[in-house]
Amino acid sequence: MLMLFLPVRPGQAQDLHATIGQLISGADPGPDSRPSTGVHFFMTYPMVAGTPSPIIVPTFQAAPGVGGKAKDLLVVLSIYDADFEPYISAFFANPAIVAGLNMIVGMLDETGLVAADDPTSAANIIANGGVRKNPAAFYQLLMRYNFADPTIPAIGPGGIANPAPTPPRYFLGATFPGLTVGKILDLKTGYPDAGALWPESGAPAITYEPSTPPTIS
Amino acid sequence: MRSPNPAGVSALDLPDIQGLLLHGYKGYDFIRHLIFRIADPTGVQALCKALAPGSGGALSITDSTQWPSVKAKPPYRLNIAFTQTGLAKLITDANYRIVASRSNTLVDAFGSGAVARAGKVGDVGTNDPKNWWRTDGWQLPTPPDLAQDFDLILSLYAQTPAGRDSWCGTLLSMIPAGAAVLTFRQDADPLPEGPDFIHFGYRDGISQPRLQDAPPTLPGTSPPGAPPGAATSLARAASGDDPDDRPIVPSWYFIIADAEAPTYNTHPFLVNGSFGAFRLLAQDVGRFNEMIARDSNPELLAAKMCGRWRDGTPLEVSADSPDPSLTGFDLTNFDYQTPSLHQKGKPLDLGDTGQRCPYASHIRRSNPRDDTSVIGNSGDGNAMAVQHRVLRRAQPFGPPYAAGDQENRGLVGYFIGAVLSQQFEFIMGSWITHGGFAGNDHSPNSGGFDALFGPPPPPPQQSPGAGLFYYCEDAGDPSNPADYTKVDGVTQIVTTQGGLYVFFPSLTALGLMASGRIA
Repeated sequence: MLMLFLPVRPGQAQDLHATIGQLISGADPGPDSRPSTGVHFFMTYPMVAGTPSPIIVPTFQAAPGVGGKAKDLLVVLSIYDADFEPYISAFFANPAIVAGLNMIVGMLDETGLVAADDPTSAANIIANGGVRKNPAAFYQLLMRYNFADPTIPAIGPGGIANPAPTPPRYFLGATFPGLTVGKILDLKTGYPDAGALWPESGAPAITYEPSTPPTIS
Repeated sequence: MRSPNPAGVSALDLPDIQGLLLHGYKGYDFIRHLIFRIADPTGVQALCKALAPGSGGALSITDSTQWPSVKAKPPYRLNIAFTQTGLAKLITDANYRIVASRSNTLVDAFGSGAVARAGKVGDVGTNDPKNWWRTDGWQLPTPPDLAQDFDLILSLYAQTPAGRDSWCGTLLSMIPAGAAVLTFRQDADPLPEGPDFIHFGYRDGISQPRLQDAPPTLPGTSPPGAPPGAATSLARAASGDDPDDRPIVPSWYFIIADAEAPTYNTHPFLVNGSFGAFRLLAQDVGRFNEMIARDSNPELLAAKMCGRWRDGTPLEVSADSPDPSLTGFDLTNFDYQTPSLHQKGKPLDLGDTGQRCPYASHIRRSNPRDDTSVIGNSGDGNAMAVQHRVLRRAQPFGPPYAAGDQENRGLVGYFIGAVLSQQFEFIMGSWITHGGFAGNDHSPNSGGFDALFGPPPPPPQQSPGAGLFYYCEDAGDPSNPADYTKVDGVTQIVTTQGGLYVFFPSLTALGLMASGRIA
């Protein structure tokens, strides 16, 4: 699991989020990288500096900025198969995604957090050609803002045969542990009609039934 | 795009690129690797100057230019590479920092060195650096000092053992007195089966990356890295047909380029050079033989572990037995998900799940080709299956195996790529070692580990499926665990005995180093 809390330039989070939405539903997803990236689920959430938590308790918090102007915050959650590095590097094969990652990195505000001339700073990565030319720096940048631990695997009903020597700081539950995106999509032994149900491109917009919130009296 | 590289035409600056990077030196099978600690940088700078082509020295570094003809083949080949400590000694720490600051991705692994990065490539447990270099090749009375004793490698390739001794003597005489201390020496010799075979009995080095713009060694012959018999395949090809299905890899993955490389930045000092992992790998032939002998079909098990029959026949092309009719590009023309254009044999149904060629087989893990279910192997065209490749320049060392002997033997040489972290380390860490290799692997232990390398060194309870290798024959159902043959007791048969991350300077850079400069 990846769970990022990215500091964004003040006033930019909403625009950034709108662009991310366009990228997600974009017409050209490029080559089908789903088996390779193994992404099951992801979520993004923008938090404008100074806005209260959307629920009754404090949730995410924007980072304090320099000169009293707080930074916006972008929260990113992704659940994926296998190791972090091959998962992220798989995205580098798609120029549209690389452009999207560069856009996000370019809108980060690390003032007061990391020196601009630090090789792993967002500013330095962008100044030197972007994420694809600086993968190791990009990985370190992500890890700087990653609440999750990329070495903690999902746990299912049977537990894990080789637990880490120390208890993990969180549990990531899985109802189908070991079921990878690759296995779902596999043409020979995967989910029947996976290719038709979830085409890599040209998928029709999904019409969801209206959701009903729980009744609160 | 797939098109043959016209013979004799190259956009690369061949006279500036060390020959080992673009040529496999076929016929130069008697090799000597000499590792030195630099004691006097000024003396080694003088050596660099003397070794530069055209300097008039007794020997000179081999570049990548083509030989004019078979008759004009030079009597030896010689290349030079430096570790980070060696490079910094010659160009100064300050200059190294300048180069590194403009080349972060390129020097990411090199700057740390093989010892510091050992964990990323499975060099833990018995492979741990604390055990390295403790073989007969160690030249000093004191134990190896991993931080001090490894600055420079000279690799000499000769056509005969006597030629190797003779040229080595000349080479050593060129080193100014007190300039460098020989710390390790390792010869590599061909096995009786032939120069392409390794101690486990497999034909090796068949499927090298096909580099864009790389010229053949001789005009009119097959390009470097082509499989045995490739020249015949080329001669038989119809006009306009490219018989080589291997995807063309942009040369900047292996020869450092300035402007066009989209995956790294570089200081000009590094241009036309490359990086490599020098590896000394022991191979336990006795244990391997004992392991496969326990199976009802030892040769099939050996093929399933490698992905090829021992003669090089790919399992994906011939599932039941070696096929001696295959030659040249027949040995490399295959893919896993969709048959390549000239692929021989009858492929399995579309959508391979590792049934014929197991995901735990060595060639599949080190080069997954078109299989986009492999984590980190996405993209299309050249982006897929070419971004994580290495050039292999490694040969067997030690005597041929005799039943029961305890001789040290294995493989020694270079695994070359411009970005070690994305090429050598990625393959070793993410593909060779880790079980989560392919998302659609249905074998009972999800592929586990590379069968030829054996399970990772940590205790078995830390590695799911440690010691187990599964394979499914064509008649089986890969989604049914009961249809897999379970091989128990698979153990580590390859042990790292030494490792260095090195830089192969261009001839221009070598000239600069001779005067301690970077520009």
